[in-house]
Amino acid sequence: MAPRGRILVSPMGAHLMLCQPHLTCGDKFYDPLQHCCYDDAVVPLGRTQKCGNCTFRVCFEQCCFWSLRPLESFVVKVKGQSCFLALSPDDRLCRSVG
Amino acid sequence: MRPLRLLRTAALLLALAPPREASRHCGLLEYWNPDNQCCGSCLQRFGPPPSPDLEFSENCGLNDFGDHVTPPFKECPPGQCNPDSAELCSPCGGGATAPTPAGRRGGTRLRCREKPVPTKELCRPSVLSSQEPSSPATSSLPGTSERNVPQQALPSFALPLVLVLLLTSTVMLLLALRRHCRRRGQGKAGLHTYPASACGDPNTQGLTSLESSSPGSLEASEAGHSWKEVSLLPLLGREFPSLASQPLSRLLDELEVLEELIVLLDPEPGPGGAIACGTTRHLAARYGLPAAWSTFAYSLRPSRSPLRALIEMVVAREPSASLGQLGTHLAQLGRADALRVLSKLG
Repeated sequence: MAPRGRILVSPMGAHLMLCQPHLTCGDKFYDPLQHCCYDDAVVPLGRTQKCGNCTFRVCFEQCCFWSLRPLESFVVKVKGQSCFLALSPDDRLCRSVG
Repeated sequence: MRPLRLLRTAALLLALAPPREASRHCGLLEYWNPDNQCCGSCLQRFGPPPSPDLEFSENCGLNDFGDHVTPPFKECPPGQCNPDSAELCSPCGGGATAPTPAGRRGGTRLRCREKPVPTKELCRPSVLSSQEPSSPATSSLPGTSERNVPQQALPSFALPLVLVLLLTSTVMLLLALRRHCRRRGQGKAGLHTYPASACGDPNTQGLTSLESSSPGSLEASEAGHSWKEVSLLPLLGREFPSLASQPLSRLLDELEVLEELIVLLDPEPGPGGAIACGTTRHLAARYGLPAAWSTFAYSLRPSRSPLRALIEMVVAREPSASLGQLGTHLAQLGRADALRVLSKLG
């Protein structure tokens, strides 16, 4: 007995599903294009905090303690750098406000 | 007498009221995490005090809004020291250890998730003394980063070694640029030398050597004058007019073209990579994104392409962005090669 002809059909309503990157922050997932993980909290990319008398973007920068004497000061560095690195043109020196 | 009594009561209340700087929710060795609404451990966030004469300051210098108000560490009180890197100092040479302050002013608050304590960083003596800002390694704090790289004191041969490496990198970069531009075009350019920063610095004087290029010609750009934006912009308008009408989001669907652009525009590693000709980093700047975003995007490699992240970001922020705009930016960066790839969508 000859085999029946096969009819190929496309599934209805098919659409391409693209894998999106998602990272975890604590026990939550977040989209790195919209948020970042700061101190175990999911925050928007534009979030800022004070670092002494400066403001820094928590998703891209970090507030490093710099010195106690003669003045208490901080330095804002790009995230990922070691706080021990010498000052670079991208860094900002900030004074304590306490 | 009544006003005097009222005055006395007010003074008493003020004296009893907690200082404004202290957290209303957490103990002295904790800080308030306003996003997670919990008290985090100073030790788990900043690691132990990096020096035997430091202890944690109140709430590690953070206010209840999450701002860094004062440094997380302070000097030990006179007569006390901290050789064991405890949270607080204790009388030097032994003696009774001061009890860890407990209790919260605002009642019982939820503790944040436990995290491993970061490794102790070596304290640099200069952190407590007068220090020029340009001097290296004065911080005693890992900061808010969870990745800390401990640094030792630099050996005496480090500086000459760094200088030699820098010199070698510069020479290699010059050779690579020369090879790159010669490969792109011969004859017309007549280039023999050009400054290493010619591609990345719009203010460079090196452009004065590029007199043999004829504006409006793609061959001229291939001859190595690709950073002359005037030679590519008229070309863009004349030969790729259809790009202007197409949305930028189309590029995300055209995976082959996108992949080719990624190969051309993303690469940076290697000596002098950051000042290479018009990379995704420069493109991001053209689209108004800060340098810190580019640094962040490049840190996602290799799992995520910075160019793809850039296109997605621009499309999300400005759905009306067009391929024509991208072409204009590429022309301004002098990336004729990327323009040729983009023209496949025209």
